[in-house]
Parts: sequence; structure tokens; C-alpha cells
Amino acid sequence: MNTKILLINLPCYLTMKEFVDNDFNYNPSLGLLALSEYVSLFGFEARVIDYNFEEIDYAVLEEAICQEGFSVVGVTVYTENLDLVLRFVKKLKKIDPRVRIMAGGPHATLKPDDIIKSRYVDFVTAKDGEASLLELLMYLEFGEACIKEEDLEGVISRRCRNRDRENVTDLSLLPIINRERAEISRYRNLVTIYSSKGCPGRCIYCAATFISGARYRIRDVYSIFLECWLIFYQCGQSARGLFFIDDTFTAQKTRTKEFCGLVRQYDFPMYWSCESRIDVICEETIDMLAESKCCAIQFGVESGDQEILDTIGKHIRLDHLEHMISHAAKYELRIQLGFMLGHYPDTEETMRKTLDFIRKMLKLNGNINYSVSINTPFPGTWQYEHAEEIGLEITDHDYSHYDLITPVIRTEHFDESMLRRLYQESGMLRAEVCGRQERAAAAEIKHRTEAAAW
Amino acid sequence: MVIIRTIQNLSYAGTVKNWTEEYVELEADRRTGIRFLIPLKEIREIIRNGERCIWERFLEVIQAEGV
Repeated sequence: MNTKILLINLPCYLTMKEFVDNDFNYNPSLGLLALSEYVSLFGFEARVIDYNFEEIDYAVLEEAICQEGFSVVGVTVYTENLDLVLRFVKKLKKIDPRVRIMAGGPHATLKPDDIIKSRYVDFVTAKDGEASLLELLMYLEFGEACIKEEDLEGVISRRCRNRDRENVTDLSLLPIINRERAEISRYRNLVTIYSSKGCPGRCIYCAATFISGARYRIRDVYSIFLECWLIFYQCGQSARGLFFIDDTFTAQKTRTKEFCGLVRQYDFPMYWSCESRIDVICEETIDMLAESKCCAIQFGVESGDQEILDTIGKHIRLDHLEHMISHAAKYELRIQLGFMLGHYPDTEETMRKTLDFIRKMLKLNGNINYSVSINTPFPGTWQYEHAEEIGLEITDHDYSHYDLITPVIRTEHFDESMLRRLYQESGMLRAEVCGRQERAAAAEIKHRTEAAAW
Repeated sequence: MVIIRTIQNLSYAGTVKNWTEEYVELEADRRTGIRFLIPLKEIREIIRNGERCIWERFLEVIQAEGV
């Protein structure tokens, strides 16, 4: 094939860039590596550039486009970097107006019109990108003799708005990602891997259901385990471990059990960590994880007030969480708890309950880390679509401020300054619990380093 | 050159090298020789020469043209 594609990830400033310190967290976009792996099976040359880990160098891009013949550029769009992406593609079109620009990723799935309205973007793809990208590259390589533009499923072009493409149902059909597509020697912290897509939860503040699909889709355990070994042989010397980026790694207990069984049976040498939901965790699962080289697990708790949790559709029980945290204390299992301030029914009292709950968890288990963010109404979430109805006033529509630490909402019970004040207080909870300021400062640095690892 | 869409919502592209009553064998990349065996029961749609066609019609054509 003659068509070559550059797949580019641009930074989401503040939420990502500040944590990328001395290249320690090198981990180029797994989604783009997966796309490049897929289209290369069909003979297309694809190169991934993640500008979270490189400086943007337009001279290098010009050489790739004009000298090396990369005639297509695909860019991932997140809500918070939409503006950056649109400025970036404008510059690419100035380098060579013939370069074809396609955009995908979360914001392309949620709000494709925000992107296609830019005259510098030629195509937008939504949802899982593998099949859409392949068809689009076939169209660009062979023209309408191969496939008509209006038949490109899941693609919006400047001329047509085509029918949707559903997400891939059997993830095991997708190829295992070869990390040699990135720079192997730069992996020093956690290597990301995925075992499932979608989330069984329906939380009103989360866009995962709309981005990854409401259906929980899984990969075959043996395929996952094989990829783990591939990573070990490629990056095991330099990387610290694996991180499963799935929304809910332990959603199916039998699958978790099977994976943990393989880790123990074959004595897999790397430590790994994952994200999950507390409603799909029990004592047995914690025991399994802790005894199978799982060193850390992350839960979104979001609030320390049970009524708030029930109202926002989180469907977890704080008493169950406390029980699990106590149970996990006997292991060296780090637990990262995530909280949010500013849910639409929140008041100062309920947000203070959240801070109190964090204090309680820190005392309960010495291996607890926590992070606090400010509720941000990302487009596509239930709370964004129903903001007026639930009394949530969105006071800032500049997406570049949607970094999870800048308040962009208010209700009759809280405003931006209250959120800012409570957010600042939340940063000192460890200091309070630890008692001594020096220890607290050291712990805070450790906390931030570990948060970066997540 | 054909594009085969499957019921798993994946797409495959390449040249048909062989077919039986149960599957079609597609050469995806001539340089690497990568081939896919796609079960007929999993095929959702075929696009050939820019036109969508059903499997029976597709078979007629490739049988007539040979592989």
C-alpha cells in the first residue's frame, strides 16, 4: 500500500503534561498503537507520535509529510484539547494542503460536529476506530473503485454524514499490540494494557458508556496473558509493571479468577495494577488479586455521602468499601481512591463529609492514596445533557479549562470559590492525618508521584 | 480487492485467495503474506468494486473470474 498515516496524540495540558517528568511515565497512547497495529496487518504504514512525550516539532512533521510521504494524519481529540487539535491541524494544512486530516477519540465520538466544522479536518470517526480507519485508508488508496465515500461506516466527512458503525463486539479478534511500535527502551514505569472495554456502571458524570459503549466487552484471558508475556520480554528489564487501563478490570469474577490463576500457575514475573468498581469487589477477589502480583487497585468513590452516591447513580455502598479497605489492609496492596467535589446535589456539608471520609480511610489502611478532582460536566454525560433540569449551571464553556481541577460549574448550594477552597483543603488531608508537617510533605510528594503512575 | 465486514463489526480488506462452503480466505498484505480465514456465517457485508453485494452474488462473480 502507498498510503502512509501518522497517528498523533496531543497533550491534555494540566491533567497529563505536568506529570510527565523526565520521561519517567513514557506510555504512548495505547489506542493509537492498537490502530497502527491493525492497519499494518493490511499493508498500511502507520507511525504513532504522542506529544505528551515529545516536543511538537513542525520541521519533523514537515519532513514526514513532504519527504517521507505520510499523506494522512489521524489525531485523537479529547474535550480538553479540542482547541489545541484545531490549531494543530491548521498548521499541518499549511505545511501541505493535500494532507488528509482525520480525527477520532472521545470527543470525536461525543461531539463530532465540534470537529468537522473546522475546514482543516477532512474526516471524523467515532467509537472503535480500527475498522473505520482501515476502510478510510482503503478509500484513500484506491478511491471509489474500492468503496464509496458514503459507504464508509462510522465516518463523517466534509461531504457526507454516514451511518454509524457499532463497536467491535469480540475484542479477541483484534491483534495483540506490539510495543515495538513505540520506543521500548523508554518504558520505565507502568506499561498500559487493556483487557476489556465498556463499563457496567451508569454514573451520571461519566462519559465511558457513550465512548466505549454500554456493553461490557472482554478479551480472551489467554490473549491478555500472552500480551503480558510479550510486554515482559520487550520491556521487563526497564518497566516497573503493567497497568490495566480498563474501566472495570474485575467486572467478571470468573475472568479475574482465571487471569490470576494463570499469573500464579506460570509465575508471571511482573507486578500489575488495575482500576475497578467497589461493587464488583469482594474479600475473595481481593485475596486473589493480592496473591497474584497485583500491587495496586484504583476505585472511583466520588463522594463520602451515601445519599449523594445514590443520587448520581454510582450504586456503591460506603460500608462495603470500608469493609474491603479493612480487609485489604493485611496485604501490601496499594489502594487509590478517587473522589469528586461538586456533584449537583452536593452542599458544603456533603463535600465536608467527603473530606471526613477520606480522613477515615487514611486512618483505616496505611496503603491508601487518594485523589480529589472537581466535577466537570463533559459533553456526552448525562449530567451535561440534563444540566438545566438538575440545576447545574455551567459557567465556563471553554473546554481547555475542563482539566478536572478548575471549577466550571455552580448550583444554588455551591459556587466556584467554594469548590476551589474545598479542593485546596483536600490536598492537606494526608498532612492532617500523618500529623507531622515534614512527613506530610514527603507523603504528598509520594502521593503525586504515585498519582502520576496511575 | 474487497472489503469484508463481519457481524463483530470488524472489517477486513484484501484479495480473495480461496473459498469453501464455510469460509473465505483473504490475503490482507501481499508483502507479508498475512491471510485471514473469515467464516461465511460471520460475514455481514461485502464491498467489491465500490459496490456492496451479498455473499451469493459475490461467490458467483469470483467463481466466474477465478482466483
